[in-house]
Amino acid sequence: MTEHPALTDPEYATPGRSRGLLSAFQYRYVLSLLMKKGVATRYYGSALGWAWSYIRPIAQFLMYYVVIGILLGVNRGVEYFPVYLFSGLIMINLFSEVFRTTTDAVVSNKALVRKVYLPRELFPLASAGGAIIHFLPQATVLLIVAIFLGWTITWMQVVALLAAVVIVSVFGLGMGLAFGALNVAYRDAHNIVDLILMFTTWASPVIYVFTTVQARAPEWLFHIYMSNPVTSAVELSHTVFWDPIANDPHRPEHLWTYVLIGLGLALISIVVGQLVFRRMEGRFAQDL
Amino acid sequence: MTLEKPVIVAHEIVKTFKLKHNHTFKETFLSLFRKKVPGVGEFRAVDGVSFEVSPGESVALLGKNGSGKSTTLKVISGVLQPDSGWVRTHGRVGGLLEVGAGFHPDLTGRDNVFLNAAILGMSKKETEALFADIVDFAGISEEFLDTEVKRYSSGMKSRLGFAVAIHTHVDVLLVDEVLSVGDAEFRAKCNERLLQMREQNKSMFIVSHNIGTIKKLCDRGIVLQKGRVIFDGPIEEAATYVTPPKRRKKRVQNFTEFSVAPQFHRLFANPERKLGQPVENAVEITENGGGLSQRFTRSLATYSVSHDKISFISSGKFLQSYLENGGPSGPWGFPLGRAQGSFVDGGTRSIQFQHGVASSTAASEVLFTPHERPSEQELSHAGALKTAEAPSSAVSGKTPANRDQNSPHPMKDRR
Repeated sequence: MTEHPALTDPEYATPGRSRGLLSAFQYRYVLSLLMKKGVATRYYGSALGWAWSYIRPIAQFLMYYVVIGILLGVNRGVEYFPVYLFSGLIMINLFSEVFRTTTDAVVSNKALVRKVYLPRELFPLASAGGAIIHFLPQATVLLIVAIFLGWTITWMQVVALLAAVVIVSVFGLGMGLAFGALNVAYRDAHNIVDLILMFTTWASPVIYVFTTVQARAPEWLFHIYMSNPVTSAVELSHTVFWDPIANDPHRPEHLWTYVLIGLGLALISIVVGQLVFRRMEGRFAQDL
Repeated sequence: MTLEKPVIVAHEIVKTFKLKHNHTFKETFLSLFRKKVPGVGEFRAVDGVSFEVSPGESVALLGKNGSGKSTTLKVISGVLQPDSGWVRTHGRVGGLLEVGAGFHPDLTGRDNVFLNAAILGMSKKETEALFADIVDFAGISEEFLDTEVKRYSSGMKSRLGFAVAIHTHVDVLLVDEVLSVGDAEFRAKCNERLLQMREQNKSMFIVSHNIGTIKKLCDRGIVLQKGRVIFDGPIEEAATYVTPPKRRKKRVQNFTEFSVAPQFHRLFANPERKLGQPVENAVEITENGGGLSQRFTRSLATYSVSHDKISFISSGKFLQSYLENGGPSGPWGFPLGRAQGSFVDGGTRSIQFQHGVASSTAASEVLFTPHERPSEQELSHAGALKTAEAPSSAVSGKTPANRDQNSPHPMKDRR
């Protein structure tokens, strides 16, 4: 049989083919509306609404501060421990939020995925965007507190904050794409993510100082520990908020090297995530 | 020349669904090693479907439920990927796959219009330009526009969804079973709008069971059966493949060597009566005014000449008692009606016979209560009716037995 002209004609499109994450640009309007939808409906029907975005992290912060800081006495070794704690927590929260919501994105948009074709990557992307929007109030609270304590801004801090947000979001999105795609066929993925997130807070120097690990772990393990993209983002966040007000901060050596490694790993995760997503995408509509 | 190119080319599309999903770890793990046997536990929804749709052509996809219509449409829209074969589209293909699929119940009507329009591929500017038209078409009042969609009635929701979808700028419109949205007035408006789109030389690809609408909108029909194309051509001819079965209701056929008495033909052929197949030829009854009776596998049919009444009793305890008591030639006489009442909640079911009433509850056995000795008037009215009491009756040979069973007390029919 001779080949059909439609196969080679560039004017013809294959339904259901997209350019993956790159199609976000072409579909930016839909993406922005999906994101808006997520933001608008997040606290729908709750009286306090967006206040919950402040209440939750503050409660979480108080819990850690009382138990770890005061009862276990960690704060004696760290100047301005509340700021140290909170600047780490907001990064962990951002990562959890991105990872968790992107994992659930496809499943929770079931109705759309099954009926209308859109590049499916838009759903995790919109979720990640929503998570970043959700992060802003927390960062604002921290910033206000830090300013009261004599915080000043430098260009380095702006770069560090952006780098931290980029690393965490990209890493979370990459992982979320892979787990989100698996989640369609096997809802176990969702629970695995919960399990991973349980460890995240403790696998980075959030409620303790990195020197605690450095003093006990063998050197190679410490390097692995520091190369965790979330750890590098947490340390960057310390640099942004805590470093300028503390007199004698413990700062890890070669922080920016670890940041670069973390960024590299985050980029690898998003490529792998996209590949896994692509691979499974064809079956989404029928598996949901 | 661009216009001459087909807008949809589908080539040998095959889509298979797994009937069973590996949900447990064990199954998942084992399926990794097990050799795949093709065709086992799988269902071919679409099996090698090919067609081309030219610009401006409107095509209807017809077929029974489960013939693969919606799957085909989903493959064209890109929601599903074919397992083999390919689809190519030319121009903007818009899906009207499900009205309001993108509606979020917690968002207002206004927000949802923008969101849904964007999902269907419209830009912000296009939506803004068409917004008034969309709202007007859907007939949603201003106050509802800023109300959450979850407070809408289902009709409003679908009207709004349809209005958005039908206003999107597409070259090919895919419509799946949504033409039955809203009230008659709205449907008329939709059909009018679809006809308009047709005049604008837009291609349409419609899945519907509403033959009337389809005949108006489409000029070509593709009929699917079990995932294969069995007809592709003019809509009139295609429609004959899917004429509702109501019009040619299946009549019960006689598969036996016995013949059904002409009196019972209609009763027998009606599938709802469930007489079953004849197990004998009709038997002429001379007693009780004369008539016919014929046994079927699942019932007994009777015809009483004196009452000119055709009746039947389905297999069950009534029929059993009736036959044990001599059937139509016995003291009960011919049945004069269908069973009345229901066993539900301890109710009583009864059947009127010539000479009495047989009744029963779910638990009890059948009791026959003979009528009081028929009055002279009744007797004269009944004319040829011969009761067991009538000494001159043709059944006199059986009279002694009948008389004794005709006692005024309800008798226990079985011992």
